[in-house]
Amino acid sequence: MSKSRIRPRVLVPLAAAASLSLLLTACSDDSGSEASSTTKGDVTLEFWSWTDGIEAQTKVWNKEHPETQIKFVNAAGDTAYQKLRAAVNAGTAPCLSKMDGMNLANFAADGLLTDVSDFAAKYKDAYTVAAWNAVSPGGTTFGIPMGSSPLFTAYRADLFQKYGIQAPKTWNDLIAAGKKVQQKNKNVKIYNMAGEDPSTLVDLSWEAGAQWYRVDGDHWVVDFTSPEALKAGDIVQQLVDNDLASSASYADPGVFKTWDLGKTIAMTTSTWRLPIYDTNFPKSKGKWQLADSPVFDIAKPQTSSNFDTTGVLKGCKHPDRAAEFAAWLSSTKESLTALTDSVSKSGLFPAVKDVSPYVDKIIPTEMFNGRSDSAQVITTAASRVGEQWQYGPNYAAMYSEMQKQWGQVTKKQLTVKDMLTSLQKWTVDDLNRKGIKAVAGS
Amino acid sequence: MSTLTRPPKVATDSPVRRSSPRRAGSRGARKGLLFALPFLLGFLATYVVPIGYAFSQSLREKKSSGLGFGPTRVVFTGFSNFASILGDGDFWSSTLRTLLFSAAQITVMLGLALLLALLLDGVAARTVRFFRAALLIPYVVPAVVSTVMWLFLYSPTGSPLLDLAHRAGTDVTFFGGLNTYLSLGNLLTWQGIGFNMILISASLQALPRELYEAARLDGAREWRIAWSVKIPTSPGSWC
Repeated sequence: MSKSRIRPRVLVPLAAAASLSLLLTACSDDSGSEASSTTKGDVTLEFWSWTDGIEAQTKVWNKEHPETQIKFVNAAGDTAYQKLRAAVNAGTAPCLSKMDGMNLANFAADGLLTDVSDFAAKYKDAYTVAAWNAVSPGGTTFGIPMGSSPLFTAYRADLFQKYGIQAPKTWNDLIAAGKKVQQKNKNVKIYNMAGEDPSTLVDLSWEAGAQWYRVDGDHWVVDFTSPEALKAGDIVQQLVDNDLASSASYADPGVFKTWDLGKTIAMTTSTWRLPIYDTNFPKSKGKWQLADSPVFDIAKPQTSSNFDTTGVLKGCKHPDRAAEFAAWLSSTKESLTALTDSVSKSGLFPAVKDVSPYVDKIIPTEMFNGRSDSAQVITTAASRVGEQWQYGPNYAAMYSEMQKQWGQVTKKQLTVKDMLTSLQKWTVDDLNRKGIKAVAGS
Repeated sequence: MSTLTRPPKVATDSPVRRSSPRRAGSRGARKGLLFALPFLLGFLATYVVPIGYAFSQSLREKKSSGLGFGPTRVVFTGFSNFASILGDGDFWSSTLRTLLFSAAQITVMLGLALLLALLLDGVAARTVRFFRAALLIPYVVPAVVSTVMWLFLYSPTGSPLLDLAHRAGTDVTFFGGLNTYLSLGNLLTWQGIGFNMILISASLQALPRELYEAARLDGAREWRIAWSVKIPTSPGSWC
């Protein structure tokens, strides 16, 4: 279950925001006017976020840094990104805002962010390469990484034993294990793929080493049909063809029962979901075990991750101070120790290179049977996030297009390969129509 | 005749009377305008201007350059946005789907609302009040609440309705194929039926009772009265 990339609830406002942006951004043509040099004197910066525990951290910062005061605004709500767009176009935007990697690329492509490459460079070394990629679409840095959610596997150890299978090391192992379970019980599935959520394909492509978007000099190379991408597509196709995956929808309030009652026995999961295991899996408490996410190449094991970022918005007058605060928030031991403490309820997992000090606290030990080293699994996942993945300027629109076709794939009306081929053409055409240089890769 | 047309001889010479009939008319118009002004300003600012702006934006397109993360500019593209929408098969199939669905759902909902209104019209006033209020509840329940309620009722994993159906030995689902439309239609009908029933019921109440008496004298039964008297003579609620 790899629902980490995008949650359905986000999509409606996203689509609305995308259409609204056409309306609103039109009168403000030029963007990203290069912000001036180092800020002197006292300043106050506005910061929008909707992560629990962040506000308390801004208070800590404010006490220690009288020269840069942060005005925290809780922007929680389904329309947060829409409000942010409107605020940028009205000239009342905050200096900083929480946004996920996909939205950062989307905002940047619409000219709503400030280029902070020069100010941010000195903070780069604290973060993983993949996290830095997420704030630097097309090689220009527009923010600072906040958190990550590397993927790993959680499975029902009791049922794996019952059906005589092991935690799969590779995706081919997973397919084989799924078939074995099917032979014993037709109603039990090894995996879940919701009809509205194509993130499984994104994650597998990322793990296989595919690059849907790649910068080559002055243009994009769009490649949905490279050998790596097709390898990922093939696994998805096998899951569909052999009926190895259940189709529980994440819009269903009872979706977690699928695993709790043992109808589906494994899932791809991530750090942000660990705190909610307690509530969602009351019956299967203590029967779970964690394992590394299956890989494509044992010699080059890769996983994928969603990234949470702090974007610097257009019109921010003090991007140097903004970057300084954002980096403090998400890379200093002081801040991360507080944010990863379960008391803060942030659900945040750091995007820094060394996550070992923060892992233990986020593990709900009573959920697991104690037979695998959960901390080791999480640390490993954080260290092997594929570094090649990039978000292109029309990634969000491409994702909606993919979502339309994905439903047909899960219903066996369209093959994954046909979908990838059509997405390839769609993406190149869309980029070119917007005046962006792009070519098909294969 | 002259006394009728001549202005009455009242001593006060208010400006109104001195002005010519034509000027008085334009003056009245001006006053009327003044009264309408607050509404007009609001209407222009929140309705006409945004629509005009949206239309002007619909003739433009945002263009990037290079890798697409640099500055953007807006160019005039005429009706090309419209052309691409009108040439999109998805647009037409979703429009058609919506039209067909509405045609079926609205017909069923209004039919049921009419039936309920006619039934209510035939029972005692106290019972009418109770049923009216009860049927209006779905309409006044906030959308957030009813959304959550139906999410749970339709949930493939947690629905009490499915649970009952499974215990009864049937294997129904709320989604997939035609069932999706039936589920959706059921929800909309549930929400809209009370309000429509109130409208129809109100117009039935307004009908002169003599009509019924006349019909009864002619030997018509209740169903005949409903069909030939009530429905055709209560057109107020049909548009």
